Amino acid sequence: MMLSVYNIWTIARVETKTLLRSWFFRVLSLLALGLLIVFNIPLYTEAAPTPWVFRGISSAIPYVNILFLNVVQAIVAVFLASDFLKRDRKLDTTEVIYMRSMTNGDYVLGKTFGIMFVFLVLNLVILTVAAIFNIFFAGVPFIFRAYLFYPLLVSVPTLVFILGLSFLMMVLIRNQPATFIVLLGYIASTLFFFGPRYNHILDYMTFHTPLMYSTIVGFGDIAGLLLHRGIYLSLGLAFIFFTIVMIRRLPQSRSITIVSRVLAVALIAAAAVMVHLRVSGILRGRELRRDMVELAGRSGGEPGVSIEACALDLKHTGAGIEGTAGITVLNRAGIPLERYVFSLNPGLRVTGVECGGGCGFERELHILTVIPAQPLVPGGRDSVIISYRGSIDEDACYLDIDEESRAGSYRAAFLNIAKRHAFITPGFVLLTPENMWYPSAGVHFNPGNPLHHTVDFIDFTLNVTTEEGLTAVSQGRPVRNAPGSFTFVPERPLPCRSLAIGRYERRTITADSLEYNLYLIEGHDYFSEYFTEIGDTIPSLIAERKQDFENKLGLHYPYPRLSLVEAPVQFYSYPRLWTAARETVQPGMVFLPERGVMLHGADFRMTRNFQKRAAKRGRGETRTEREQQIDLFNGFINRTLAGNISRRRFRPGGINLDSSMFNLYPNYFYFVHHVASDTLAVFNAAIESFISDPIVEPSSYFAQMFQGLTSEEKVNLALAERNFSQILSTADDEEMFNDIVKIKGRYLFLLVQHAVGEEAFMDHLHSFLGTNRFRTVDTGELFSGFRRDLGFDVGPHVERWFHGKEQAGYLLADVNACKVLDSDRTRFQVTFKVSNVEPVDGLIQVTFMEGGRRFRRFTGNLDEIKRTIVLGADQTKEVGFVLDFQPRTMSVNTMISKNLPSILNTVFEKFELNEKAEPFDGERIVEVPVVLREPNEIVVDNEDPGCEAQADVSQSVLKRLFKRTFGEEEDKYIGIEFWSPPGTWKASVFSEFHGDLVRSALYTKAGKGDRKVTWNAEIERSGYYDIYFYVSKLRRPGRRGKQGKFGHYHFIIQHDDGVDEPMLDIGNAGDGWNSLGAYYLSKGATSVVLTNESDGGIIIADAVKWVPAR
Amino acid sequence: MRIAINDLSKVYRNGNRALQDINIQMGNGIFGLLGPNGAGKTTLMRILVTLLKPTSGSVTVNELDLRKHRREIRAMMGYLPQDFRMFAKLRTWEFLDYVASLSGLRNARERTRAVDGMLEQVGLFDVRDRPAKKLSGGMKRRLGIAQALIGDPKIVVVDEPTTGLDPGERIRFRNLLSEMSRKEIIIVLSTHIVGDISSTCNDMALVHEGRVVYNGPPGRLIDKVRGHAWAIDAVDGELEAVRERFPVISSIPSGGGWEVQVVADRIDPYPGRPLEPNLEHAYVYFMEYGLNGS
Repeated sequence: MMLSVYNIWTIARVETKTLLRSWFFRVLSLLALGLLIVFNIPLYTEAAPTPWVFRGISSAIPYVNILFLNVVQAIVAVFLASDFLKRDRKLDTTEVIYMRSMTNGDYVLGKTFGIMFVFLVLNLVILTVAAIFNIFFAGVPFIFRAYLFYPLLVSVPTLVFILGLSFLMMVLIRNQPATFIVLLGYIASTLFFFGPRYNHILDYMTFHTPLMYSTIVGFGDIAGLLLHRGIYLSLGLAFIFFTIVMIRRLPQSRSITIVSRVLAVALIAAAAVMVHLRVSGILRGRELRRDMVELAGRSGGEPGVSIEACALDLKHTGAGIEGTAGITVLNRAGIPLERYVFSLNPGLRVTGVECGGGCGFERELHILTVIPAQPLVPGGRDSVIISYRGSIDEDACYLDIDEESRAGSYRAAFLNIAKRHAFITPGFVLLTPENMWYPSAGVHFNPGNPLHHTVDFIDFTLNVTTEEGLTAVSQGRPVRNAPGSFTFVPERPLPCRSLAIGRYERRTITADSLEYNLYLIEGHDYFSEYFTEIGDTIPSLIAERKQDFENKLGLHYPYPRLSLVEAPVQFYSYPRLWTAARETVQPGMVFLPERGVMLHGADFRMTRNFQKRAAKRGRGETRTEREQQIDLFNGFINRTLAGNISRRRFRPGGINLDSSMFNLYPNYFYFVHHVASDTLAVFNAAIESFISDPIVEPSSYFAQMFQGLTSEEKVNLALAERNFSQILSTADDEEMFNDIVKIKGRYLFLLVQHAVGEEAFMDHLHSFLGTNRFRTVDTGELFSGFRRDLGFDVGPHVERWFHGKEQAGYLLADVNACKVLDSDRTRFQVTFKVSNVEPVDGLIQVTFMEGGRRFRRFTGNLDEIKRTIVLGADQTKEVGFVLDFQPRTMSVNTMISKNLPSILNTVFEKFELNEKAEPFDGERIVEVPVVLREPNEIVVDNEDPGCEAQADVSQSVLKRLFKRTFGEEEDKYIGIEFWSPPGTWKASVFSEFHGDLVRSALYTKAGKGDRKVTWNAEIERSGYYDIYFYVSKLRRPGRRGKQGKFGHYHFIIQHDDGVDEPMLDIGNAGDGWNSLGAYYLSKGATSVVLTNESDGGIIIADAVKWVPAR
Repeated sequence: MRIAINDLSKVYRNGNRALQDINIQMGNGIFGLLGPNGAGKTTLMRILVTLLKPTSGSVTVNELDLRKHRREIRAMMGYLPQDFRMFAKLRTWEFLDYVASLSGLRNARERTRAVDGMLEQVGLFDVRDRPAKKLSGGMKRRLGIAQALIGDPKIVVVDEPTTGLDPGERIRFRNLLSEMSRKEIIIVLSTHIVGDISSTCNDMALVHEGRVVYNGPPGRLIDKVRGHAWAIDAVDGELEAVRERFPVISSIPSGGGWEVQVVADRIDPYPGRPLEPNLEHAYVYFMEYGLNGS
């Protein structure tokens, strides 16, 4: 006698009924429903701006709704599940049910089904609401299957698991409050702590697990996902069966008890097997990479062949590929080569290798070693035909990326996306060079010299055969031989090749004899409706954008065509050490995420709404529909493809993609040029970084205020410890690495540029690059060009640049801004004095920027003037600029120096006409160095030993624990957090603060006077002293209320006549020194105390000055 | 129907010996379990309705072992626990319907008929749509009785069913039981109210400290105390002394003194007369002096 369906149904029905009547459930589900509706309104209507990803990928609509519902239901289920097992002895109603004729299986399963049913109804309701938003408001396609997948993959396993766990805990602990605490603790810890870790294996709620469903390829890792959900489903079922065994009711059927026990154990075993599969899959990847790196380390380093030409025949066979590569290798090594080393993805099996003169081959992991019958003489060529088949092992990609970064999440807001590097499915293929999908020369990545990256410019032909109805996209001129058969004829030598195959439709525009292709997945045209008026103008707009971009870079686009190709949202690339290029950008090709999600400029509906609102508010001039469409188009191009590269880390919507990921810049340098060096492998990256400088946005005034130390400053601190070559050899932090290469590179080139003149230098560099397109050149060639054509020997500088450790340090003073009469014109003049106070040469870069950044997005670029000034050891210069525009800011970039902040910003409010001033545009050496402290004054800065901040221990234990757990080590200097100022004194650097080389101040949250800073000084002569306090009024835009108020500062001054407690009204004070009054002070120690008692938001404690009164 | 309880003992995990060597045979009709609170009646009943496992001994129902045939035995049982409260979120008829379903009434139409009939019988038909928890105490009790009786159980176990009922309801309930007992069923009725037993049971057991001290028809029990029930005429000052000396059943004021009913073997020196004993006398006598007399 087994289970009774009738009994189960009866119990489930009553359970459902009682649950639906419970206020707890009603209130919580109504709350969840209400919140989700409120949440959906801004997301899917036009009520407020939200990240495009929420609408761009239709499946994000059910995804985001189920994700939140799931957290709520996981908690509610705990409460409901534990209720029925309450062991209240008095409650004999349970007993009249328990003594009825049914098995424990009937009872527990009935209860489970009852609760499940109620939650599934809730899911259905939520999904219906989501579907309504999807269909009627979001303006994006409705994908029905996503509405099935998410509840099945997310809700069902989560509920079964948490119900089973709650039942079991209740049976074991037999105390409802204790069970709640244990389970809620478990939920919270998985949600906030364990969820994102350990490859999400503990994330039973899937709050952190990648679940984004691509319209092109579906889920990113369906096998992993099924395993993950299978684990929790099995565990949940196992717990339920254990509950049947362990419930405190006398069993009625031996067979049910036995079967339940067996099933529970079997399900636990199944879960264990799935955990093992999942974990071993991850570990296997790690091991593979470790082995590959180790193998590459053994095989790399020795000279190898170059590939001159390649004819690749590739057949797409559903879930795999078959390739035959006819390769012409060339010996450029200068010595006979006994082996040719190639790299090919270890997921691809080599089925045959043939050489002109016969050969053998060995394969180990990704390395294919071909041993020719005769060594290849220097300058000699050989032909090698390599046949292979298989698919891409994505674990073998990105050997240079550390495991921690790999495990890091890829998310848009809170939607998690699987990271994928290659796709081969029957309907879609995406392969990039990182996949090693064709044989390339060398070991791909050499751990012994990670920056050394061989580049062959190859005459590369590709033939592709795929299913009829699919379109292949790759570099070169596409020829469609037959349905499903394509040839890509090389037009330029290619450093690498990528391939996409899919249901693409192609849109082509020709502008300035360049072909622009857009490869869209069928049905993905969401944008045409926004560009109805400018169809005929688009070619000229493209040409203009291209021209702008190239003018800034001083380089020309080298290919006859550019293709934008849609790729699945899961396609992910990591930043590299040796280049700014990511796999998303390929020669003549950019892979954009499907429907432009993850791109900020791609939500055209939202941008149009902004335009309309701006027009309503009367901002800017009235623009016609056509003009608005032009703005929209230019905005997209500028933000995504051909605009400035922003280094901002903070982006709205929490999308963790670099804005530079799709920038076309690699098509101007990395894919075209290669400056190789055996010893200075970093040089190619340094040139790349230097050339990109005109399109890199400087960090903004406010960013500097908010972010604490910039990466440049961290680089400077690192360079004070170790020299460039030492840092490179131990590079582990990619961000730091890129910054250091950029800063050091710019420094070296600015040095040359300053010596020979900017124009001469840039002309030379551009012509050098122009004549060396698609060719690898040696640094020696570049340096000898400098010597020959510019008369500058860069050699000794390079030596110091690479191995030197000394840093300059600058003091800046007497900044003077006025209008001057220059001939008959009024122009804008800024003069200042700057000293290098360190015994080493250095250079600074001064930039003036026009105001009004707000409109920059639509109207293009503003005026900007840049100049480099070299300062010898202990040298002082007076510098003058006469400008045609009124600058809003001057920023002095101290480059590699001891200065903090490393960029000193000055904001100009007003330029008044000074008729007497002589225009001075240039620089002159002066004898008197910058002196920040007058001899008779006593100045105590917060950096000085005389300044003491009261150490505070009041930081909450929880906060400390949280910070420690999450490895959030605090830097010495933090950003200024207006919204949550620290409860202790924290140091921050900022241009407007007082200081010598370090312009810093301490700041804290205003309070009741419990935190103090004391400035101590030694008075040498008794007398009256004027005491001053240094005020920096940090202006924060658009803040009112207490947070935005400057307030009054409360001081305590000990003097000979007693104690005075002056208040300083910061709102009415000016920036700089403000008097606190004159006091008689006797010889000896004195002090000024500032407390945190204030009616303002934050207190900034910077510097105090004592000046003898006359 | 036959229930045979043989050498049944129950020792709780805390060492509390609740039942010891119980031997009872029950046949059709109402079987009364009489005993003071804590005597072990409830434990015995919970064992009978399969909520509790005996420590040793056996119970067979129509030769079916209670341990091995829970399915069959549960299917023929109805149970009203001592302290019965309602399911919080169900209406009166829904609750009864739920129990009826579990008792094996699978046909929806028959079940509805049975539920309605039962509600009529216990006088709850008019409040059938009221949430069960909003019923008055007496109504809840009646619903408890109804759920124990629904589905034509062959064995009905009722634990202190009449506590909380007013006299009218109590009489009605006794009549209901009597009526049912005419069918082929066993009704096990536990109570400490002697009147419940004397008016309905044809067989009974007296339970004391986990043991059965008497098992048989109530009449025989009464016979055993014939000659031990007395009425003492006590003057005012004597009442306290009488109460201290004898177990008192009742004391009624009568003409400047008291008529005190007591059970005892002898009552000298007090003046009195023998009474025709009833079950109450017998109960008190056995509680006081044990089965073998003083």
